Amino acid sequence: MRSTTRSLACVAVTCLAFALGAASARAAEPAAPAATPEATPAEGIDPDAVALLTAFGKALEAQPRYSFAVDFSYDVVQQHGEKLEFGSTRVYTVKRPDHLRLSEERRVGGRREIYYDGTTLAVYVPDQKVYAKAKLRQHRDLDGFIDVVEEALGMNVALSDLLRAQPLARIEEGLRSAYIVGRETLNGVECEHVAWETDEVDAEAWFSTGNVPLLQRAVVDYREEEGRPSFRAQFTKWDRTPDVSDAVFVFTPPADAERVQFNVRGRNPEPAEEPEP
Amino acid sequence: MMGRLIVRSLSIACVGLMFAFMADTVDAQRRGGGGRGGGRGGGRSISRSGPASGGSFRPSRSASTRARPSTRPTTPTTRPSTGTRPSTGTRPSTGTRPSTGTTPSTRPGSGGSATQRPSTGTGDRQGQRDQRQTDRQDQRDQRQTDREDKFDGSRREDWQDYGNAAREDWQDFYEEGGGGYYYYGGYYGHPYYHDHEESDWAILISGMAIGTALTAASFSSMQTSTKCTLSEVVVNGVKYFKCGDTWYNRVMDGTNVNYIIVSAPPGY
Repeated sequence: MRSTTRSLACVAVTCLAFALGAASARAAEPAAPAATPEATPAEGIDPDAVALLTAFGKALEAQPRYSFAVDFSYDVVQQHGEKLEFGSTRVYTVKRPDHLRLSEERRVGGRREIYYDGTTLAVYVPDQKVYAKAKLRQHRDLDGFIDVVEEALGMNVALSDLLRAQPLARIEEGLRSAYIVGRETLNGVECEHVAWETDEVDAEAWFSTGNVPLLQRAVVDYREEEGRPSFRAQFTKWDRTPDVSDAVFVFTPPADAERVQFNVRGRNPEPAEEPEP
Repeated sequence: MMGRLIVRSLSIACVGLMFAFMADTVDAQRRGGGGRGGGRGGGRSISRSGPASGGSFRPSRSASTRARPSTRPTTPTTRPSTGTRPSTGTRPSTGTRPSTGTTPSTRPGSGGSATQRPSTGTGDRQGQRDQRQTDRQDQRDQRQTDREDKFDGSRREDWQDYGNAAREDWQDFYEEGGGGYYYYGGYYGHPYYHDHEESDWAILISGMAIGTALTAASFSSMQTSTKCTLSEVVVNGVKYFKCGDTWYNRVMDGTNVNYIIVSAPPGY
């Protein structure tokens, strides 16, 4: 009888351990810190939280050049309401006010190299040895560049909030609540965990403590969108003195690369309805 | 005896759980690995981009306040041919929904949404739910009003300025890039590659509709389904792909190399 009880306990423990292991394996990607903002009863706007957001924005605004790497993922709501996660790793290099280099490695495979030097944009797909290049007639800073490529070329400049001339500017205007969750350590970096809410998003950010707050992680929950998708980003390798020589921002095509044209978007947001198949 | 039976049953259940997890993992790996151009997914149409893909902390500008055109690549279901538009079976979205391939919709009443609550079926709860819905609607209306106030009060001129700037920039892209491909007037089967004629600018700016492009995977599957012999032709330095009677060019669609249908090159 004792043997049976022991066996029962053994099997039960094994099952439990495996179930927990399975659950943790599913939760392992992305590795979200143990933060439960839903459980935080904070209401209203904590000026300290707003000050931290603003301080980060100001610090980034004051940087004449900087680079960072980010591993991000996001949910895409599918036809039947289920969510799938996609993502990529990117390295951004910024030289204010008008230079950007973006290197991307997608989870699904395929590198992308994007160059912008204030007037000329180049997108290179090394795996296919294909590139496109276009030049603006007039100079555009990064704000103007981001707007025009997102709208005219359909490019997704993820985390563009961090590239603009005034990062997180006027963020306090749309806040419904903001509060500091507390101190946490992410990958060995002590951070201040901040949460805030706007009409459309629930957001969290982890800023390193110290003289210059640097964003270590961000989670944005798009509450008003169908299926409530989220975006998660883990930042690494912040560099406030990266190489910003011209060669970083100017694309020189390989001799065997093929040049193609950009597919320019129209301005009409809704075309004539297409019939269902 | 009874104990052994229980142990055996638990063991079987545990093994079953392990297999279930493994199967789920494999399935997840398949789904995750099926990313190259959307060519896999067991025949499913998988959306790969949506409102969360940009990571904006304040999405109102792109997602709600401004309708952004979106011409994500789509998967053709029938053979495209010259003179007819490719059948995609999809509807381009406005940028507020996942827009690769299909316009996904969330099933009404489906679980998982923080803004939806399960139906209880009792009168009291129904009343409470109605009240909550009313409250939420009031809150949303108020937020909408607030947004409109902000828009009317302080942003209208900015947006107008932005719109004008964007138009100029499009022309710039168009000119310097040696041209850009675009569709207009619902003439999906005949995208035009315009020369630098002043008369075309008006069409570019005001009369254009949104067309479609094929991902590399869709282009490949189209070849298989139509059993065409693909040939490459270079005309005036531009590479064309010919499949049956249909001609294609490669384009940079955002940051993806896709294929669009074009009219036959000069001399063909």
